[in-house]
Amino acid sequence: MSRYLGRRILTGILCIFVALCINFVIIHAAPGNPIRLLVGKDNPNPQMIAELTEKYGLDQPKIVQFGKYVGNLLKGDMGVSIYTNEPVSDMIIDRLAPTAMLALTAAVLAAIIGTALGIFCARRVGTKLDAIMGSVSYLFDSTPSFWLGLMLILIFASTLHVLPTSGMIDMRADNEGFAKVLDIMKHMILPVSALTLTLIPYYFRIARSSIIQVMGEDFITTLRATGMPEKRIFRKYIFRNAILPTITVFGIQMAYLVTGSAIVEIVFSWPGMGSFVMTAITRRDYPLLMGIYLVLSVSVAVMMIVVDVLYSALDPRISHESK
Amino acid sequence: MKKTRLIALLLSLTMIFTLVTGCAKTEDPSEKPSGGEVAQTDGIKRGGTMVMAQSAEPITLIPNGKPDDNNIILEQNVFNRLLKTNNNQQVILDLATGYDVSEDGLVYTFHLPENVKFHDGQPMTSDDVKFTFEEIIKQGAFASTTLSVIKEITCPDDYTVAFTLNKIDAGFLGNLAYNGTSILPRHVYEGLDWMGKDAMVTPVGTGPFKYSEWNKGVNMIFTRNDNYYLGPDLPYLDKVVISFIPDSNTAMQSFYNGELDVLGIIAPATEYDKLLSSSNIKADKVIYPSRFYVGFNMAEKPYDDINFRLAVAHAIDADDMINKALKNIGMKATEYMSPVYSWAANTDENAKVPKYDLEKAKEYMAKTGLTPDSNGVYLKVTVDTYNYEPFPDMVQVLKDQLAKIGIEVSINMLEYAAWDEKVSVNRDYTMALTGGYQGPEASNLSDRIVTDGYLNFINYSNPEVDRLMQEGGALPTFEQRAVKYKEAQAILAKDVPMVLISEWLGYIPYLSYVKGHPASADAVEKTAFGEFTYCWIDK
Repeated sequence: MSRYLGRRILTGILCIFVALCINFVIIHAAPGNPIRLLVGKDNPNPQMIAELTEKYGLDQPKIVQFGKYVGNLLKGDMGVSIYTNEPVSDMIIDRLAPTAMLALTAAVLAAIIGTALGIFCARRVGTKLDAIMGSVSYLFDSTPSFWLGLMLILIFASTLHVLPTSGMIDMRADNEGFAKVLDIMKHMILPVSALTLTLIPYYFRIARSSIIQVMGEDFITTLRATGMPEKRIFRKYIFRNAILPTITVFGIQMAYLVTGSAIVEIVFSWPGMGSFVMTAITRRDYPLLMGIYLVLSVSVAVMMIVVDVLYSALDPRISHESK
Repeated sequence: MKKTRLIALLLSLTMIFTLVTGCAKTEDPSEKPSGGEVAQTDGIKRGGTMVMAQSAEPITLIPNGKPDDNNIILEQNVFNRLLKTNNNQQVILDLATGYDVSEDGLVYTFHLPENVKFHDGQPMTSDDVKFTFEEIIKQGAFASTTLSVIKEITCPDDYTVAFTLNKIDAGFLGNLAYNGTSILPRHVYEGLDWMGKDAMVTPVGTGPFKYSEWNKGVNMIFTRNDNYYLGPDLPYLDKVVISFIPDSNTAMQSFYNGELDVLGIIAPATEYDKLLSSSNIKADKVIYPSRFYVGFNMAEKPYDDINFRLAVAHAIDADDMINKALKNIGMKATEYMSPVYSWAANTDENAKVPKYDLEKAKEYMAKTGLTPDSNGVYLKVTVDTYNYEPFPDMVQVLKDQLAKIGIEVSINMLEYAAWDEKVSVNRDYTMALTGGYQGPEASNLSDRIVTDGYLNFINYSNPEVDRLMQEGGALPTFEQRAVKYKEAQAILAKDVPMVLISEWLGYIPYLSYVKGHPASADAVEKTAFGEFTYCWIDK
């Protein structure tokens, strides 16, 4: 197991490095110059442009810039934003927490609701209800989350006035303590709903199909023949076997949550990574963009390893013992 | 049982995250807003909070450092300048109680009030003014280019400051009244790297509001300065909050829903009907010294041919464009100088922008020496423009209009950064539909038309225009300057280096209970753009 883990971690690091190279090439290949965008159009001072270009090393060959970046990274330094001069690591940490709060809540809710609905339908395969649920799941699957978000705002905020349109806190109230927690939860309802509703179909379909698949296995037929109660068969044998794919999907989803919720965050002005990434792109803030993409690559790599390890722990059939 | 446990787990997870992120910052108890319920007889209600949206966050908290469109509210409310520009684009007094100009036009002496205190309680004196401007130039900050004309700053006494210039600069007062010239306390900002690592230092100014807190991605809060030098009555509000809302559709919904008092962002054109017809919304019209125009790359054929440019100029129907693409939020551009600087605009018939006349356009097209193909197409051109409103609609209308004289347009919409690199830097284009600021002073038209102008991507070069624009900026009075600028415009009218279409108009919407908004008739003369000294909430 430990040799397997070591190998996985090494390939993970390699993947992150390859991603880092690709990110660098893509980010720098996009037309536009951060310093020109920074100094604006009102009488920029040419001396200032030259100084800033030199300061951020943008006058050096790309390969040198990349070498320096990787060198600093190995020392744990992600650099500073060209725009705000703040350390990139601090800026990202500031934004990760609200994103995690939103995305984790939505992911957990979607996994629970989606799986529950999937099981519900799997046990009623072929009925009208199953067919309707299937169609509805495709409907939400094909609905863009930002559109759904805007519709939720129109219905619950603009028309019914029961929930706030956007943001994380009520700007006019000075809530503290528990009142603030409640206020934030109230502001979470719509964005979490928008994310959850678009995530549910994945879990729904996976749970439904894997349950149906396991129900058709020979050992289930054997168990039925022994006269074991249907409830017990389901709980002890079907569910345990059928839940494995859901765990994989959950892990993969977790890795993409930061990017997946970006659009919804922008629609709801949620102070997470979403609008942060967008602004960094339009400004061509190279160090910040490299930092954000690095964090995303690392989170994907880590989640993939975690899922693999978890999988072998949950399913004794999959073993990573060295032979 | 299991279900309840799961739900409990979920809820506690949510709570933990909420607590961790939500309660990290606590407010300073010493900053209790005051002046709340003062009984007044003038009908103005004191106190309260005003909320406005902004699409992005500031990149610096030093108003004089890097240019930053997103710290304007901070700049206008936490700080003061010597002079400021009101919403009619006129230069008015800010901190200065008055100024004298020497006979030779080289020495400007400003008089300062004696009761101004910075937010940390220290008095503001002429030494802080001297420090501010010397430091702007030393640090190569935003305003350093326009203020490089300053030769020396002296402080005859604590409340008098004199600027000696290298040469006469008619734009000097306008530049002092523009962004990046806030008076900063020497004892706070000395020795800091404004353009670099200290860009986020906590702001200390003299303005009507104090910087209070910034919750990243959420909001920025300003609280009342109880020691404001125009006080104790001013400002009327206790608190101003900027809510960061990146998406304009969301901001609109938030505004309609009453969560914002002032919209704060540029409303999408599709919302104007609703904004202008709602009884509880006020929307003040503003004309910016910014205009939409078509530029030609005059270094290339056939764009160097005046006949071709005249053909395009006469083929563009500005009224049609304003109606269809700008939803009537526009004003036909008729002179080469922005109407905001009407003293400098040449209104002679022969100095005006060419009028829409399809027959004339066709005649000029025939003179270009180009030959039409079997479909009547003389030329295929690519027009580079931006991918954001209102440019996508405008370029469609342009395409239809130019098709009528046999120019087949293919549209290339680019994100701003990419456009800037292709058109402004590499000049790898043929025609461009663009717009942009030409203020804060009439002289800044130069940037776009003089030979080495920073924004002269049209590659226009006429030594006469260069000379006249230069001379126009070096004369002391408006009358003298206007002569030069008008002459330059007459030459532009002959050369047609660009086709001006419309002035950039905007509406600043806010809920009608907001009084004294800087764009409103009550305050437009006395306040700067985005300055909320006289704002109050009537509800």
